[in-house]
Amino acid sequence: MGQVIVVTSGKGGVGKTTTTANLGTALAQLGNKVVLVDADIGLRNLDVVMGLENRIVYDLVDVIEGHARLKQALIKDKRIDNLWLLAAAQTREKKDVNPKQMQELTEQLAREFEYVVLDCPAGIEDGFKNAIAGAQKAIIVCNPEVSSVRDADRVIGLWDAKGEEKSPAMLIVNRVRPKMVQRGDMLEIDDMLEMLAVDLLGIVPEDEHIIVSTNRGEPAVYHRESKAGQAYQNIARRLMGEQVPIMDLNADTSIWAKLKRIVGLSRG
Amino acid sequence: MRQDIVIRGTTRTGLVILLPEEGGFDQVCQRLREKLAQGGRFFQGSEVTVQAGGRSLSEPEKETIEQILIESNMRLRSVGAGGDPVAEGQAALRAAEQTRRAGTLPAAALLIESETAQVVTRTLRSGQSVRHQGDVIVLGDVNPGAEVVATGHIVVMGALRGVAHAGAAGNAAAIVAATKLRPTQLRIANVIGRAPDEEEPLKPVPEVARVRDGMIVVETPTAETKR
Repeated sequence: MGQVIVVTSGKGGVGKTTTTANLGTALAQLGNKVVLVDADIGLRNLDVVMGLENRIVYDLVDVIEGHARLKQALIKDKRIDNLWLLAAAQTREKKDVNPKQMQELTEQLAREFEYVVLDCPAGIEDGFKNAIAGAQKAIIVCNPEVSSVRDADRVIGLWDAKGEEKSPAMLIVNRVRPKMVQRGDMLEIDDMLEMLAVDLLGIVPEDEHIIVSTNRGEPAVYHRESKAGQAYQNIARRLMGEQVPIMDLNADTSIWAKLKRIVGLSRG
Repeated sequence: MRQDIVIRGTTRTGLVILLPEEGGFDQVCQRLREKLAQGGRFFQGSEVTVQAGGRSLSEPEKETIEQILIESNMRLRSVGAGGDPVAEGQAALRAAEQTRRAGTLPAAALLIESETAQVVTRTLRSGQSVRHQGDVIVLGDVNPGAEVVATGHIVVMGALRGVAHAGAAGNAAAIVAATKLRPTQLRIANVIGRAPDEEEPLKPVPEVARVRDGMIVVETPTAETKR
């Protein structure tokens, strides 16, 4: 049985969909059979970020309502062979699906795929309950700002309260701006971890590549020069159980530092 | 003797539901709910004529049926007392056969049997959907994430950027036309075409999509007359 992982945050706009797309792609690049599930019914985005919007014929709701078989609704990624997408319905509502149905669906997917990664909608209502229903692992995406941390805390509480077998939530701190952290204008990651009391899965720097790649429908992990892309690759390896040190965002970009990196003295 | 509910699409009057001649009224209602649930969204928005077959329905019974239809987002047009369901069925079959044959005719000779066209006088935004038995004309744009599904033609006086499905009941002679034809995906009958992954410069002319040799092709509206 594969792992079912939900990517959630409570707050909107912190990078759930970007994380799902990049993490899923990175896991597939590492040789895993992966399916991404867009649980944001009525406000789907994952298909656009993956550049697969024009391939959708059947969606998650079609499968749950029996209009299509799961195999028909799975969209094969256009770049990697072992990556698939199950799109959300755009003309329907969160209430058209219930947690039990989602649980059955993810169970079915977990039999075929090594990783089932669910992109959760913002909020803690029906859509959230549906998305977490079948998951055994939760990745909480959080930005280094107070409101995002507050919402992350709320969501971790709800995750802990979920009855079934599951592992503790893991945290990704997204859109970190090293210079602002250095100046002390951003929340310290250590402070966030202390407050949320969860394991850190990774730190992703703010990166202009993300905007470009999102608009192009091409996850940032394909861009070697993208720092965020590298961070997501590291996160994927950590999820697979590898020990990968957290990226040092303070590494400066001076000529001396670059030289050190070339010679292999820095862990860049 | 008809023992089960029969739902038939006709080109002129929308859907016809023929009630079975046997079984109690409660049983009929339950079976109708099941049938409509099986059809899912397909029947939504349809106008329905109910043929009661041999049975005579009381007013409360008619209201019950109307309520069931409303629950499935359908509208009751009329309840026929009995009529001749067999003849009705044959007429419907003939009409369906005509539509099917129309699908094999050259597009120039195309005339889909007259059904009322639905005119949508607003832009369809993401998540909005129009479904209609017949043709659909949109005076506005169809944005990505919006969809238009019609059993006939689809004409968009504006930019079509979302999904359009013409000839949804199987008519491959249906067309999709738009002032700016940039759909996420086009479907005509059971043929599916999608936009190329690379952006192409937008042609500044209205275009028409139709099925040729089992594939969706896009042409300028005048291409047909030049052929």
